[in-house]
Amino acid sequence: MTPLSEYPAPLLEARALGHVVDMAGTPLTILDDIGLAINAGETVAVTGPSGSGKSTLLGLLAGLDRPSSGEVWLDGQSLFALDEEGRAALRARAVGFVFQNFQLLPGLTALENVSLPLELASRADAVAEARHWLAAVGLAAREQHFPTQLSGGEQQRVALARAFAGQPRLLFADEPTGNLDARTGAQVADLLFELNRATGTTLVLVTHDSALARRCDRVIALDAGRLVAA
Amino acid sequence: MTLSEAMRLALRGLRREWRSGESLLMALALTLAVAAMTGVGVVAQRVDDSLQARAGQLLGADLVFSSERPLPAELRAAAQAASLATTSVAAFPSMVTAGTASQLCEVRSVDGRFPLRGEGASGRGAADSSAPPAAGTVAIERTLAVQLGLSSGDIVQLGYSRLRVGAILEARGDAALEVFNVAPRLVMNQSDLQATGLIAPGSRVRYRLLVAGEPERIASYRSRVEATLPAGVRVQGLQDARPEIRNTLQRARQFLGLAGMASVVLAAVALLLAVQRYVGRRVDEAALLRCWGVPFRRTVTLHLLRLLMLGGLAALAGVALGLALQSLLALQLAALVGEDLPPLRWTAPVLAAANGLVVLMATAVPPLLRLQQVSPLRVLRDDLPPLRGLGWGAVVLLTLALAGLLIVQAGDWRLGLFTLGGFAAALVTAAVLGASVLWGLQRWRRRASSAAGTGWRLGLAAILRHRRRSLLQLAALAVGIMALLLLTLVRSDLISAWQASVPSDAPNRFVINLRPDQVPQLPALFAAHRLPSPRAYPMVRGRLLAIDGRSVDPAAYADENTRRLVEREFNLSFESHLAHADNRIVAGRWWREDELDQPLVSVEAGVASKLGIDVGSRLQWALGGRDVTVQVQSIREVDWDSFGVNFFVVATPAVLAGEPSTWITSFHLPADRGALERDLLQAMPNATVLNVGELLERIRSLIDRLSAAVATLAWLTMAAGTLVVGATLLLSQDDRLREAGILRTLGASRAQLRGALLTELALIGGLAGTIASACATLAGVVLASRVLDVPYHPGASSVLAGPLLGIGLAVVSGWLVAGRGVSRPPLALIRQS
Repeated sequence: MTPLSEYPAPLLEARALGHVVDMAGTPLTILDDIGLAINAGETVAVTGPSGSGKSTLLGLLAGLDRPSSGEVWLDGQSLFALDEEGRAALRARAVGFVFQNFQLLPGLTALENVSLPLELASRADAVAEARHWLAAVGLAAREQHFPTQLSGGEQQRVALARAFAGQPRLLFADEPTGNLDARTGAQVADLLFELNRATGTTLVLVTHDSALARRCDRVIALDAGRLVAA
Repeated sequence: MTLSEAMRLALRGLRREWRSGESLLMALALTLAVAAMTGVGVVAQRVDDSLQARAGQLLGADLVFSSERPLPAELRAAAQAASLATTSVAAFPSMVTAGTASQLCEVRSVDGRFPLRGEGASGRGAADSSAPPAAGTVAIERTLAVQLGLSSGDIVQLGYSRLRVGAILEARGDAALEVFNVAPRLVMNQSDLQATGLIAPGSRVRYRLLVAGEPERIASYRSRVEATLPAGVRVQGLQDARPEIRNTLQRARQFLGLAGMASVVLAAVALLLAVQRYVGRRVDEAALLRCWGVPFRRTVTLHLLRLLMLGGLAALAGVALGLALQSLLALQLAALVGEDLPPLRWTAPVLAAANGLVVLMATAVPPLLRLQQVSPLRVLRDDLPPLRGLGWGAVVLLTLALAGLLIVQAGDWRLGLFTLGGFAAALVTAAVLGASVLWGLQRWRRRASSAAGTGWRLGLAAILRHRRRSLLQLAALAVGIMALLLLTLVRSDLISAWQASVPSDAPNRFVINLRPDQVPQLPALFAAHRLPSPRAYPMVRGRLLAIDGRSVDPAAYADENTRRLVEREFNLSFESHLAHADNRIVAGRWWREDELDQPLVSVEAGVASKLGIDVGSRLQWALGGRDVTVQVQSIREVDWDSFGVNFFVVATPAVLAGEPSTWITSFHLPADRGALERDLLQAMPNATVLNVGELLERIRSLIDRLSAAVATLAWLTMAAGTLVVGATLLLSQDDRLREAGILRTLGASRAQLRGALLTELALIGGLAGTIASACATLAGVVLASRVLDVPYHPGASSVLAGPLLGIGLAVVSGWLVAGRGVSRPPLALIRQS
């Protein structure tokens, strides 16, 4: 494991992170004593077999859930010292997401889906910015389409536009190609890395696709809730 | 699997599911539906029982003939020949005076036992309770005794006769049922009638022949004489006793029943939605069970058992709530009937509970059967299309079940279907209006910049995304609120408009039965009390025989009121000049001086249109002993709200002047001039003073009580409408939670999420309320102009109450169902879906 001291100012840092859930009265350890640090501009893949705790780790790193123990620092801020509102505000400012199942809001058009996080952050140029990013993922012509009118690959491209539109310092991607066929998946992955390079965003990518993982600077492997390689 | 095993399994499942929203919602919806059916059903049964028990009592006989002219003697002779008991009765209103006090009463002059059936004079000292009063004595009702301070042995003045009070009658059963006949009763011996001078040609007397005997003899006697009855004679048997009362109460009953059905229909919609979610959430479970090889039949049996248990509990709660409701309704209706209703029987609650379970099964079985279509492949792939939509089968089944219930409730299939149609029309109207508003919102939203707040945009997006669901919410809530508004605020607006339209100095006393020679005494009498003398009008009774040569047959008129109109004798009047300020000629013209000797008439517009009479029509009338034919010279519109004396038919003096007539007048008696009434009656004891103010007050209070009962049910309807909103929100709960999760992940604050949800709910509620207000106001305007004929200005409260109520209901119910999504950690929200 890389000593924390090597990175004087990591963008994202987990310290002794643990997560235990109660399964019918029996405690079940999902994550155990995870420590890691990710620098600004790095691309990191989190891999591991099903049930190894990848998605849970991602959720904790993004402050979507509370850990049983340990802490997470994001952009110099201890996540769990903040309340839910504070974490939401931090995410709105600094974090983007790409999900396996896209998670677009079905009632909003492609353009509205992309502009939504900008609006939530009260950006005055939300719509113009959203238009720019939709064009960047090649969907300028589909602005007014609703998610159900788009293919899976197109939906994920909208999700990419949404993620990058906020110009987050940190982007979390959870199996971004998991729901796509191989060819579309490859196209989306290319787009993801291309945008990432162009913006210099820090990327944390959860995947069980080793080819995708290899495109990252670093791979963190999980097994049964513990780090096995970093 | 044995039944007990299945029951145990089902019970366990039920307990597990109780916490899930849809079970609670199904239970609530069913409770509400059963409560409405129980409340209304029990009240209906009690009203029916009351009517049945009183049929004989009301009639006072097994068979009654009545007419405005003396009945043919053969009628009685035939009854006596058939060994049936008979009593001849002359009934008329008259004033009775004791000392200086006088009171209007209903005189029954009898020549035999009275009544022949039911309780009669349980008078003190009367050996036979229904024996007629001895000559020179009268039996009076207790109310009259109290009003005039009389007791047995006192003397009363009736017309020109002085009679001794014999028996005091306990309150008769039918007194309170006679809405328009509020006077207490006085029974006298027929042999005293002549001397009173109360019966003169043209007097308002109704002649009756009461007949009683064995049912078979009565039936054969009735069928024998019925064909030979002269025109104008009405027959009433036990089945058709007192149609006016029966109709009033039965209408009230039907009205309540249908008002109750509105909540049942809405509750059924809520139930349908909740069941849909129940089934939707069992799709994965069903796939797994199929994968394991569990027979589908067993899965469905378990679900049905579970639902039946839930339904049973809910039905019990519904019956309890319904019983509370019915005691409230019975209290409100008892005021209408005048006494307590008979006790409840348990058939109605049992039937309501059974009906509730039928509705539950009609809503649950088709969606449950659709679980059979679930592919076991689902356990491997979660991208299979979900089971959406209900299919026509479910809708048809539910509609049939509800139509059946409505028909049972209305007791008449046409009325039932009409109501279902009316209800569907209200729903469709609300949905169409809602759809156009949503369409407008959609266009507006496209143009709106992001200047509108995020919460607002998200809320609007949520409404527009699920248009069908939004429309259902809108329509259900709108119908509920509409029912409530119509029955409360709009009604009171209409009543005040109607009251305002009656001038404050409108006549409040009518004097009838004046003799022609008494009319010239009126000016002096009124002058003595410093009041202007009112104009008096002659009144001649006549039967309409033919219009343009075609004889008038009551049976030919479909409208009941028209039928009654031509069955009865008309009050005709005659004048040279049109003196009524409240009359307006709308066709033809009034007669000129030189036409006064011609046989001409002027007919009131309403009657003319009902009977198909026009200017130039020739009408044949039977007057006293002769028939005359007259020509219609004009059609008049009459402002009946003036409460002045008016006639449907006014003729030239040439037609009627020779006929025996009584005179009628009306005037406004200020509260402090009561002495005039007394002086008038002392000078003219044969005259009858009708206190119209009192009558109007009584009618108004009856309307108030009936509509209070209906308004009670309207609250239930609104509650059911709210349940539909809750159910639709619950149906979208999973989507909502997931969206809340995404928004939280994207950094939305709690305030933004709250704003979005509140916007959505307030928009739905506000729109529904506005639509309800608009429709209710429109209905008020139509009622005011078409039915009540008064100017209508909707009160601010009626207009504002709808939107406010809608927003309040939608926000409260919506927040209860969907509010929790706001404060959960985002990952839990995303994962849950």
